[in-house]
Amino acid sequence: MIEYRVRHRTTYRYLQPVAQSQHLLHLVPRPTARQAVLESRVTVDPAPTHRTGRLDAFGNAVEWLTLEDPHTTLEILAESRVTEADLPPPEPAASWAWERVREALEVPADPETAAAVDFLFDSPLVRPARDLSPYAQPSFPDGRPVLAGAIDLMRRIHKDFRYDTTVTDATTPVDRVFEIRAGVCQDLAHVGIACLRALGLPARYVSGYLLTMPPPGVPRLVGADASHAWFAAWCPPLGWVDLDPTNDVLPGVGHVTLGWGRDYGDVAPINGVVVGGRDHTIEVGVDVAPIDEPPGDDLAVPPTKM
Amino acid sequence: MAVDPPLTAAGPARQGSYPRPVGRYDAMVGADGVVRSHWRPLLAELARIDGAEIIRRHQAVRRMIRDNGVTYNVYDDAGGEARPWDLDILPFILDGAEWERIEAGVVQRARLADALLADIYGPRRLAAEGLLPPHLPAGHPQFLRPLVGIDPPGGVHVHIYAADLTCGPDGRWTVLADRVEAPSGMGYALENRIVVSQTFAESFGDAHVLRLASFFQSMKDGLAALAATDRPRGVLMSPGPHNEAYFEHAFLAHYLGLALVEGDDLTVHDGHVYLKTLRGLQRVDIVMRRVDSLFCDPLELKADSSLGVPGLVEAARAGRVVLTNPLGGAVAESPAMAAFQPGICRAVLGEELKLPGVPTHWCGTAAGRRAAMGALDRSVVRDAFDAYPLFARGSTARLGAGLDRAARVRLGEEMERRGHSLVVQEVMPPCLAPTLQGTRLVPRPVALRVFAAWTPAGYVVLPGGLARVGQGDGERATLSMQSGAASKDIWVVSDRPADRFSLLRPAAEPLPIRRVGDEAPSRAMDNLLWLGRYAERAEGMMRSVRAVVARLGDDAGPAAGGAPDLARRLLVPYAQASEAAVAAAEADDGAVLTRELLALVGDKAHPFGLVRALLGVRRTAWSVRDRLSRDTWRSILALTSDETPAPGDLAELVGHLDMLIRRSAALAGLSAENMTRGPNWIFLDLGRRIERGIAASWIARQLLGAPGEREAERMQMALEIADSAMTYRYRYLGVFQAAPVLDLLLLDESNPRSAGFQIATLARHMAELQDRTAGGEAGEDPIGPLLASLRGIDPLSLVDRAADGGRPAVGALAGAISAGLQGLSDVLADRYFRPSPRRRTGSAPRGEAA
Repeated sequence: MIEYRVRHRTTYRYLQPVAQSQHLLHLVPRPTARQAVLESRVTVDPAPTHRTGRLDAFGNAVEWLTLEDPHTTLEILAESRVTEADLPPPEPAASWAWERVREALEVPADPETAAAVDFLFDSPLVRPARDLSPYAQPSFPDGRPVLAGAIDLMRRIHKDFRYDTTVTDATTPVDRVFEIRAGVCQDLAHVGIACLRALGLPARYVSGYLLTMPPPGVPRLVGADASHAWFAAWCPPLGWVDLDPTNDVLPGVGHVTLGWGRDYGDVAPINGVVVGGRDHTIEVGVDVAPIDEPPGDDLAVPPTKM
Repeated sequence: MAVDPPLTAAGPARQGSYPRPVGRYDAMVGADGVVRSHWRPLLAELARIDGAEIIRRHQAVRRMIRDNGVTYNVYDDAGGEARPWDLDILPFILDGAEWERIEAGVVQRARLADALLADIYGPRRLAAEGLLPPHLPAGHPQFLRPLVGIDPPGGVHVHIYAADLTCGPDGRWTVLADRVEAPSGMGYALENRIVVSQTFAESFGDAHVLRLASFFQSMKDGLAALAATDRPRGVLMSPGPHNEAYFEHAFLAHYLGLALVEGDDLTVHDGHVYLKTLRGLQRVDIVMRRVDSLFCDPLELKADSSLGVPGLVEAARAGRVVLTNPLGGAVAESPAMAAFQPGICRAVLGEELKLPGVPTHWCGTAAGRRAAMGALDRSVVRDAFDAYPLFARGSTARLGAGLDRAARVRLGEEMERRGHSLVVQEVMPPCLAPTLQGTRLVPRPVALRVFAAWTPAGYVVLPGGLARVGQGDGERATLSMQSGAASKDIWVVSDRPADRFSLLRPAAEPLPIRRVGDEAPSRAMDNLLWLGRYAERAEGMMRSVRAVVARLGDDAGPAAGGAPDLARRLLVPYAQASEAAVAAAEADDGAVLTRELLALVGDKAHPFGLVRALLGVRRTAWSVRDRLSRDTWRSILALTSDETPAPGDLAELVGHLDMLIRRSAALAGLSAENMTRGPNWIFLDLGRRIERGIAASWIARQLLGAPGEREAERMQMALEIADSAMTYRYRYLGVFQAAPVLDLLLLDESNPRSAGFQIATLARHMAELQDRTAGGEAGEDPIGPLLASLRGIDPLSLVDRAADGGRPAVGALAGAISAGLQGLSDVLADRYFRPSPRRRTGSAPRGEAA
């Protein structure tokens, strides 16, 4: 069991005053089998006019806030303390053959199976025009346990797709990522999701963070400076299993989970609409560190032009 | 003219003129060839009139539709913006008994859709009990998860329901599709009724056709009953003038007394929806939406939508606004739903489904796939969530019979992998009804759209609706208006003369007297201002061009009357004529200039031409269609119609411009005489005055400020263009001097064409606006100082000449007037229209190395 402190600061600077802004936040970590959330708070500056919290349709904590006084900067700071249990990795052979999973979904026998149906279909950001099953199928020969197939698929995506922060943006469609065989963690997660769904298997998108500085002797993972993302496959009877195609690992103690949905759009950390403001810059800083280490320096990150 | 006499009133159909239906249901003629009794009054009327009269009525209908501006835009139509609504003048007639069966079935289906949506967005018991696969909501692209758990006001999930129906050869009505997302067509049904009942007034009166009006009253009352306040304010939210059914949005808004708005006009604060008006934000209690749910909230639904209102979902969550229909209803429309409706109806309503749907096999289970493959030859395969009507543009449907062996193998594989996204639906050949082709009755495939509305006492059904006439025949007949189908009115004839729906109408309460009853949404006011500006700008252009053209045809040669000089001063600066053409005309060759002027007036493609300018007038008027009277709209259509052939020579050009100037004056007169002096009129007139003042100062500067020979001639031209020649002659006889001419053009506030008159009128309008929007911020505007400085000017001070012979004081004053009026336009925009661009912000780029 390791305890972490997570700090995620987002600062918007607008060229002209914003008259009104509304934001939806998915910034509070979600408890899972291996993750407990000890404490979490989101500070907003300037103070919002209205602020309400609730659970979204997927069970993630979401917060809606509006600012109705003119402002030129907006800073959203999410701070949490979580513990990650060091559970043994799931055993692929213990999962059902993938064909059996598909069959079980046809007439769901229990609420868990019925809930998995939610992740079976195209979603707004994962709606490939091409049939991806020819790419996905080699990972799923007849009778292979579904988790073994998903791991193989993750490895192949890691091998076939180049990590590149310059070729995609938040709205790049899966087809394009597939064509250029490159993208960031979000894109690789979407590719994994699209491949599983093409075979009639449920897949979901997981939003979270990576440990910023790994313990001595362990290589630093890609994507550790900002939000991270991976995908999960439904592997009964084990349940949902996380897979990180960007790093080719099954997420363990170094991955902190924020929440999940069908794709990035369901759980974007911050989603907003502002009235006025012209251009804006965003600065984002993320720091995930063991609780016994002193807090990192002030999340200083150069501004990125959106 | 040779006319094929229509059917005799009582006898069997004459085989030569109208065929006996084979294997299909025909609404007018039974399988035995005998005309159904409820069609006989109409046929009797047709039999009494001759072919020429039928053609006359048909043309009258076309004219009425065109004059009323009834249009339906078809996307990607090369014809452009809007095309006239295609109405077949023969109604589709149903008898009372048959209608009662349909009505009962439609009410039941509305209740079913309501219960279905309440469950899907609520407890989801149907899925738990195995009555509805969880796939059906989960896989629908418009199953809107942010709406899950939201209970709309009164628990009502469907306020307006529509069913698309057709009748099988056995006379049984079948529902082709349920419509609950944002059912359209009611407004067209009403318009069709207005037109067709006038066309066949005799039969309409004799046949006890059930009336439509009380349905709309019931619908309005039902919505009002759900609103949180006693005197709810309602709006109709449209995607805007480019939407195919914008005519209907404007028409319905007007008919139902709702303000026609777009998403930008609304804003959400603290869970309430507000309308931006001249008086500031006004609370809105009912939003009848014609924007698809998915596009209604860029924050929570579709991020790249520019049609919606950020926060609308939060307002729905707070339960403080009645959204009609509540968001997310499309999920109940999916074709796959038909496979499960009978069971759900039994379980939820405890009733058998009265109107069956199309036999449908969902391919998400092994049993479903087997049945689907078995039915393939008489079916279509389509996406389980297909939102398009069968065979309409965009529909995924393929005819099963058309699939070869290899295609079937591929289909089988696809079903194994993703069968949950496919359905196989048996093909329903639509029923037939007579349409008028020339003077002949010809059967065409028809489907009916029938509407129901929620009231506290249950759903009521519009006794009529919209019949859509398929273009082709046979199995692939398209019945989508988007694909260009024609429409018909639907008559329900009753042997009971009473209007049963009047019972639902509440006792009439006296209406409170209201003098200014207008919400005046800011965007509409902005558009009215620009309508005024564009209309005036077009008229000014006609006047300038006419002055040039009239002189170009001078007997003594093109240069004799000063036409080239005038063109250089007024048209060349706006690229409306070329310097080369002017120079040639000065050398007495007027051919090129003539060609350029003909193009300027008649050529659609001329970028600075009159046709474009008039198109701008029409487009702007279209976007405020609900605020213009029918007469005003007709005069705009007459002015901007492209039906008059473009002029071919100078003589025709003069006549053409005279005609346009008369029509333009008619439009200005109509708005001056017929519009109440509310915000609509004020903004329209503000636009006109601003533009006319700018034009007057421009003419004074170009013709009298700038140097040149033959000034007396130019003074006459200026007076002519400004329609002030008569006044001048009356005051000063035939003596032309700069000071009195400039006084009349710029300063004289009694001349309705002078800049001074415009500015004085604008100052009064601004004061009145200030009063009306009391509570809004008072502010400086440039009009007061401009008027004061104008009143202090001695006309004689304007005439001093500079070394080049020009009059610099005229140029300076004209510049000040023009800048002041432009400034006023900007002030109005800032103060009342408040352009507020919306931007999306998001998280930072994901997973990016710093």
